[in-house]
Amino acid sequence: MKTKSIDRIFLVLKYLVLCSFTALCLYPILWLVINSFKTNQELFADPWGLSPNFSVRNYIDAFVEGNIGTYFFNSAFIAVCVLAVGVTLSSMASYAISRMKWKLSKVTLNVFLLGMMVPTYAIVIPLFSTFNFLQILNTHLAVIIAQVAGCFPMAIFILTGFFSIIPKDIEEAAIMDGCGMLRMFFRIIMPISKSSIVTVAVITFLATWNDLLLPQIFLSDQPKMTLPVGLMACQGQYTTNFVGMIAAVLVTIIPTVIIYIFLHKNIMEGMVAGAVKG
Amino acid sequence: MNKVMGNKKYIALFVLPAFLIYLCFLLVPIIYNIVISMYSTNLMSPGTFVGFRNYVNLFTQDSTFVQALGNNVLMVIGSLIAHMPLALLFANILFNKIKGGSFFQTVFFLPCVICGVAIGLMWTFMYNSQFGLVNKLLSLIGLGRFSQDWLANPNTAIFAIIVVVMWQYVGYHMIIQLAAMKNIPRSLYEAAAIDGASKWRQFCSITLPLIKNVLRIDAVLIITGSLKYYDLIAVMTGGGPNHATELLSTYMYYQGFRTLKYGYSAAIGMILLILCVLSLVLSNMVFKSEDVQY
Amino acid sequence: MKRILAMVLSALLLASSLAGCGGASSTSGSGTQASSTPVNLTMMFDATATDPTLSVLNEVVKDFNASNKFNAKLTLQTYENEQYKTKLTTLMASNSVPDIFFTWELDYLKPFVDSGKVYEIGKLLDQDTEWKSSFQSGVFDPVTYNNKIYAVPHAKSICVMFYNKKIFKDNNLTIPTTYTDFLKLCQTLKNKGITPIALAAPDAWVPAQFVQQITDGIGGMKIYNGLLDGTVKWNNSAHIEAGTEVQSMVKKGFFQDGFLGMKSANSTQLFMDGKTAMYFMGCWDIASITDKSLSSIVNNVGAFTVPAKDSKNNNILVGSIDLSLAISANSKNPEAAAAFIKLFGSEKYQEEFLYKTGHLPTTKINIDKSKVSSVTADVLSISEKAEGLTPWLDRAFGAGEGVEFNNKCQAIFGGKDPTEEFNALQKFAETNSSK
Repeated sequence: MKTKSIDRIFLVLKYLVLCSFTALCLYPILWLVINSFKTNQELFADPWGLSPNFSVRNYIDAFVEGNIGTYFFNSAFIAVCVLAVGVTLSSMASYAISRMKWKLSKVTLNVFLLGMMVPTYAIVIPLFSTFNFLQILNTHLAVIIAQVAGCFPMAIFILTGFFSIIPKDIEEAAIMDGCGMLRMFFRIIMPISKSSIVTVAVITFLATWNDLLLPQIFLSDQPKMTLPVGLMACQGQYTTNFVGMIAAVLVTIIPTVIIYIFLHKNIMEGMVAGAVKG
Repeated sequence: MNKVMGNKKYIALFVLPAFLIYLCFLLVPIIYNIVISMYSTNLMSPGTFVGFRNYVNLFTQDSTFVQALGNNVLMVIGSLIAHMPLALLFANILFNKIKGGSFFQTVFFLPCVICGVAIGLMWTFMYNSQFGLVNKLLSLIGLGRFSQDWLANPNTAIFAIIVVVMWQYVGYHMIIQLAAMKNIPRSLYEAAAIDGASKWRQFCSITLPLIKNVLRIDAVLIITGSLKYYDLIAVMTGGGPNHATELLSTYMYYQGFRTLKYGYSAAIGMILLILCVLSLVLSNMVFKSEDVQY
Repeated sequence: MKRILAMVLSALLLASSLAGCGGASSTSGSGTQASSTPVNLTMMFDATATDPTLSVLNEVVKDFNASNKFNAKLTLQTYENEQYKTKLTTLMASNSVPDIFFTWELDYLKPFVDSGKVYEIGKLLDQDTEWKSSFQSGVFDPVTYNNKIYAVPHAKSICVMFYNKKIFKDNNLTIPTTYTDFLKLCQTLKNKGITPIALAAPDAWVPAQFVQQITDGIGGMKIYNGLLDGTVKWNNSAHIEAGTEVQSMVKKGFFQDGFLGMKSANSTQLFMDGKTAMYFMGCWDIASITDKSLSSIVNNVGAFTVPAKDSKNNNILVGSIDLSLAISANSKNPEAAAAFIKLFGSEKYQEEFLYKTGHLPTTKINIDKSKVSSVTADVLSISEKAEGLTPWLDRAFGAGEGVEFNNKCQAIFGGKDPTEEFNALQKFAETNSSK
């Protein structure tokens, strides 16, 4: 009886903790939503309540003047390219490293893993100068190449872990059936490793989508900018239009939130897998 | 079998594309970065070789660099303190099957998928001295005298940012720790419960030791993560006021792309690299433990 | 096999990137094919979409594209300030700066000139004496390096104290003529519950230019000149005294609440909404202050100089040149580009800039005082009376001591000890040269 009431108190405490952090997570976003329909004056007068004159003016501003739509498209384009190239190449390399028989596989893996310790900052100046030489500064290609190269260590780290636990029988059976290497990889190995590949895809996508530094350095034309860089530009440009910025921030956040609502299981598994499996 | 799996052609086909990109755009740039860091160059006219002078100057003559380094250390410590215990608390609550658990997980994790620039802007609004929530909230609960310009005050700016970092990533670390906990066989807890061990006892003698390995990885993630923070600072304070929130990353950007001292900037990049490697080695030593058997 | 390949590849890459680092030589083509085939020119300019300067600039572009003897079409690209600096730096390094670019003077343009990235427009000015002689004397000094002119300035800018005439009138206040009067005026306003001065500290150059103005009033031109030739230290007594003065103004509450965290644009807005009596800023803000859509005090603004603490320095102002345009060294058509710049600086547009946006002309035009707003008239007469201009220190000393000076001034506004801050700045200056 006594333990039960203590348990109950603990339960209430637990919910109290959880609920307050939930509020902390969600309220700022809700606050943005509320204020995105106000005018600057209304925001200064009362940042709490809803505005009596509901207006989507700020959203129109964000798209028309703030070019949020263009930034969004650029971000998506770069992220998809990085995703396609990065995930394909890293899963191929991981497979060769963890399953194929060659002397340097361990060394190669370690060389790849070394990259996990390299902060982007240690390579931006050389990349800047290299891309400058290759004349691809201020193109999406520059960002894509840099992001792809940067995604390999983590991706290979996760994927080699997954591939190494695939039972040998599967490969043996496939080879007995006369399956070629490419066919086996794309038709058998890739499908059975779907979860780990989605994991890698999600990490790669988010890292690319959210990155500020690389696109900030490589892309300088407004029509080519990604969302984070574009938002920075907006901040400099429309310093007094707070409500407009709020709308722009929301436009940036909302798609991520929607994707997250549908894919949160995969995203969470993905972002965590690397750490736990390691 | 071995013939197929040892086919050199396939190995090359599978490994080389990734390896070459990786080599050209990650490994070689590091080496090139070391070279640049020994030059004094603005990338426009031929640079002059200065050896290790950039590095020496960083530590002996550049008070801003030293300040940025200090801020980075503060960030690391602050993030460790802010993340680890809170994440562990949340993870442990959710681990012990609670109603609505997956809802809470989903919500807590949400901030870390949102892009840092958006979050930085959002919190700039929160901290705004005229309409921001933080000050309004303070005056609402009678602590109005503490309201101030959180990001403009050199004494509070960095802590204001650490709070945002915590807000953003606590859920991430919670999920990592939770996933590790879920790998622990339930039977251990059942056995412990039969032996009459309290929840606290179970946490200390089963959960904690068994997720130690993951905690180590988590610590490395937190440390390297906080060495690399850039976007939040770039958006919220730009390193100001008077370098109070300057980090190595922002300072490096400033020296490279504002004052055109690319060599000097590359040297800062190298320091960051060394710190990341060091943190890994160090946390390996601190958390050194034998492999855990379930 | 792979190792060899890798080594070869990395060697190649290293060599190539080092070559890129060394900077390919700039190619300045001849502009002879110009008149027959259409010439495409690009220009990049530092302006935000709402910048009133842009409307005049667009007119010039339209005018130029309608007809010019080079049959040239100019495309204008504008960037917000921070973006602009990043962009220009990137383009400079990659040798792809557009034909014409906006630039700041002194130390900002210097590295680009030193690296041979800027076309020597002085050559064309010398050929076209009518063009060159249309400018007032001395305006080319801040863009002259090794006796060669590299940019053409189209506005003079000085820092003035804008004031709200209505607030002054309602409270029976007059323009202060001595420093003591100025402080008294602020105190009176403060006592009446009116915020005396709007100022935004987060952009460090804003507090810095105020400190510099007070310094000018204490030490005169010799401080600036001494800093330039190294005979005066950064922790000189005038700087420290100015820092102390400013700090006491902060303590007395002469600046608006929350000025330490308020964005520059917001503090401007405060003044334009009539909520503060004064506002210290470069005269380029006339454009916004007299824009009816932004400002509610259009017809109630005047300007005066902050009286010097040592009255013999009364007319020494923070100021320099502005709207400078330069031509890139790799422009294929420098003559066509120069033609645009000439049009930009023509009497017609110098007048438009003056009458519409309040930019003080750099050419010798006859000013029709009836066409200028009252505040522009004030600024013009201040400019005429000026006995000396000290350019913004971050322009004169660039990203090193210049920016650090700004940071220190910001810190002083935030309550840090002026002596300590300027000592630190001096120490920084002594070590910075070796970086």
